[in-house]
Amino acid sequence: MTGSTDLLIASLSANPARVGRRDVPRRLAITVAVAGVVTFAIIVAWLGFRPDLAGAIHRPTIWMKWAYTGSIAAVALIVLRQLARPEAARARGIRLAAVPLALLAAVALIQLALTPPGEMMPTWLGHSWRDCGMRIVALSLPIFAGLMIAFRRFAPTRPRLTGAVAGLAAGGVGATLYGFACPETSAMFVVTFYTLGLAMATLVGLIVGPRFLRW
Amino acid sequence: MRASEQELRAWMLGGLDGDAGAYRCLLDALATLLRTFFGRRLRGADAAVEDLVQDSLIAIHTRRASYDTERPFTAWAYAIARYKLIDHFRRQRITVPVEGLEDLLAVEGFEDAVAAKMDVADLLATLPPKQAAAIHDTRIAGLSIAEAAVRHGISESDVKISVHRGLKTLAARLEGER
Repeated sequence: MTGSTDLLIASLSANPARVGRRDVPRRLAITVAVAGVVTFAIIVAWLGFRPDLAGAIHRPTIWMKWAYTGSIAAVALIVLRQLARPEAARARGIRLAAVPLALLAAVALIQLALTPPGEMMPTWLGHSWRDCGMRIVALSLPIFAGLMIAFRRFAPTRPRLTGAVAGLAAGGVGATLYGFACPETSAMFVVTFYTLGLAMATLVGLIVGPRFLRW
Repeated sequence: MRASEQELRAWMLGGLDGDAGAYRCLLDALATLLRTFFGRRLRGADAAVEDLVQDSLIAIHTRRASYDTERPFTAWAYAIARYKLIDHFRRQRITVPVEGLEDLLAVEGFEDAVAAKMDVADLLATLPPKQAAAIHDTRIAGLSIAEAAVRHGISESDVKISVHRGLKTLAARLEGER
């Protein structure tokens, strides 16, 4: 028996490929960049930019959306980097994702208080409330797939948790890119329907992740 | 002779840089450590032990990118072994006695234990070799004074004095650090 282990060791150590010192963050960054380009191309082909993008970029609401989804994506990716290590038993720091949510909820409440009662529903539901969540989930899928491929080199020992955090990260990146297409401007809309999309992307990761993350 | 954290880590860093010799040393040393680790937990199932050793070596190899070089190497390697062991129990549908399971799942306690062991090793390394060896043998490895004396070819009183002086130095150093 030990003979076959010796053979195994000989073959594994014959020509070890070099591995960089900060390989996990590097691979995650490359994955997000490449899958992000793919997702961006899908957005351009499928939804197109929001018609007023050139003007919107100079107004605060699009930056509010980007800050919200971008910061959640950043938190999730940092936590995901930890979960690549086998000793990581918990998603330390994931609660920080609640900070942008709380801030945006506060802005939405202020907006709610300032909106005349008759305009409340249109402000909240916008034009695309039926599609927003599902679009974010769809746009998260290429990024999620990329993350699952990257994780084949990593050693997550909490597949469900890792899947969920990867889903949230993918949702966050997908939603950030969706900001180029989404014409909605109210904080009430974003805090409801973007959050719904992020939650669904997380759920997809939770359910599907373990299938790819087992080793 | 068991490989220390320092040795293992140095070999791992060499392996990550593509040094086949260092990497070979690492895998050989790990195979021994893993055999003990699994052997203790699966008494009498030698075939399963060797399977798990091989599975873990393959996982350590293919997933070596997940080792963060700033962190202890042993904790990383044993975390992979533990995952493989739990996976083995799951597949075998073996019910693990509760106290055994706790041992397996106590990740943080495990890390602390590894870190503590390394702290002790670091501290001992600062002492003269004779004192360090005497403390290690009598207080950590669990040898008697007589056995330690035979092992190092010195008198029993010499062992006692070395332990006493070494511990005194360490105590003074730890107080100084506070």
